[in-house]
Amino acid sequence: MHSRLCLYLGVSALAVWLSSGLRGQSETFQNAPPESAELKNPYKGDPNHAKAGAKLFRQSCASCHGADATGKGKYPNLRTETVSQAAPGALFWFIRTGAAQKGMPSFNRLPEERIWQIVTFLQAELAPAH
Amino acid sequence: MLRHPKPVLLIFSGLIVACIAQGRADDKAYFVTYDHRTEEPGFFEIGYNPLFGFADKAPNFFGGLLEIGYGVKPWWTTELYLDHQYTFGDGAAFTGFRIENRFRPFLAEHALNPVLYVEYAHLNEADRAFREVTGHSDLDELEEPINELKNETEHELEMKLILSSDYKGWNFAENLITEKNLEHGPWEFGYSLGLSRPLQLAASPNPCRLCPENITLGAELYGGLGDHRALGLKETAHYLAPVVLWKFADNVSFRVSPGIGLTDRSVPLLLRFGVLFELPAAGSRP
Repeated sequence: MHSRLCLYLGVSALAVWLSSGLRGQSETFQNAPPESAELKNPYKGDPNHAKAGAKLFRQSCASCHGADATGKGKYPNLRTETVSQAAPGALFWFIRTGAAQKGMPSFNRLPEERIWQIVTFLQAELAPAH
Repeated sequence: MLRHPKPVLLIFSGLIVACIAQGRADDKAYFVTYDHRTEEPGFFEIGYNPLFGFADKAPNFFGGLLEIGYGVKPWWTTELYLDHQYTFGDGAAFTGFRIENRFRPFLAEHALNPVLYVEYAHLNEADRAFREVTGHSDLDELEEPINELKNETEHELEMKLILSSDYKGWNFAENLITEKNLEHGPWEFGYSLGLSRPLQLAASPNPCRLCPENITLGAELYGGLGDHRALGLKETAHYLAPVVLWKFADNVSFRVSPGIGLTDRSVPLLLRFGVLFELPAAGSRP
C-alpha cells in the first residue's frame, strides 16, 4: 500500500513537472525558439531608438496593423500585454522570421538594428489600450 | 518597333503614381545578382531598368527592362520581364519576354540561404538587357542590324542556384547560372556575386531623405564560365559593377550601377539605372 502511494505521488509529480515544462514552451511568444528569448534588446529604454522604431513601424507595419497599432480586419491589435510583456528576443525573432500561415511576412530585409528599434517602440510606447 | 511609346509611358506613369500613393520601396540593391529575399505574398513589385551600353567598335545602345513581380507564397515569387532596346543610328525593337519563378525551400534565416530559380525566356538576338552573362561572348553581334537580329528568336531555359547570407548588416549573394537554348546549342554557364550594406544600419528618429540609412552601397561581379563543351574563362565577358541604391521615399527607390567590362570580350561600359516599387494587390491588404 505504501509503495503504491509512493508510485502514485511520484507519477503525479512527474506529470505536473512535465506539463509545466511543456506549458512553458508553448507560452513563448508566437512559438519562438526558447533560445531567442535570451537575446537582449540593445536599445531597451532608449527614447531615440523608440522614436526611430515608431518611424519604421509607420513604414513597414502600419499598413496592416493600423497607424495606431490597434489592428485592422484580420490583422491583430498590438497594444496588448502579450506584445508588451513578450521576451524582446522572441518578438525580434517573430518580426524577422514571420509566420506565413498567419499572414505575417518576414522582415528579414530590415537590418537587425532596425528590427530592435521596432521592438523597442512596441514595448516602450504601446501601452495596452483599456 | 516601339510604334506607340506614348500609351506605354502613360501606363507606366500611372503605375508609378499608384505605387507612390499606396506602395513601398523595395530595398533590392542588385541588378544582376539575386539574394534570398522573396516578394511579400500579395504584393506586386514593379520596376523599370534602363541600361546604356557603350561599345568600342559597335554602335552604342539602350536596353530597357520592365519587370512585374508578384509574391504568390512566402516561398514562391514569380516575375515577368518585358525587354526592348534601341540602338543608336539603327532603330528600336521589342526583344521578347521572360518568366521566372523563385522558390525558397527554407523560410527561416540561416547562415546560408538557398533559393532555386527557373526562367523561361522567349527573346530574339537583338536583346540588350544583359540580365545575366553566360557562356562565351561574341561582341560582333552588336554590329549586326536590328532588323536581322530581331528575326532570330530563341527559346531558352535558365536555372540558378542562389545562395545568400546576411552578416552584421552585410549581404553576400552568390548565383550559379546555367542556360540552355531549347532548340540547339550547349548548356552555358555563368556566375554572379554581390555584396551590399546600408550606410547606416539603425534608423534615425526623424524622417529624412538623403541620409545614410536610406543609401545602400554594394558591388556586383558577374560573367560567363563557358559551356559544357569548353568550360572556363576563355573568350568570356566579365563585369565589375558598383551599385548605389537610394530609398528616396517610403515607397520609391532608385538604383544606379556603372558596370566596367573586364575582358576584351566585354562591353566596355554598361550603365544601369533602376526604379523600383512595391504595390499591394487589390484586396490583399486592408
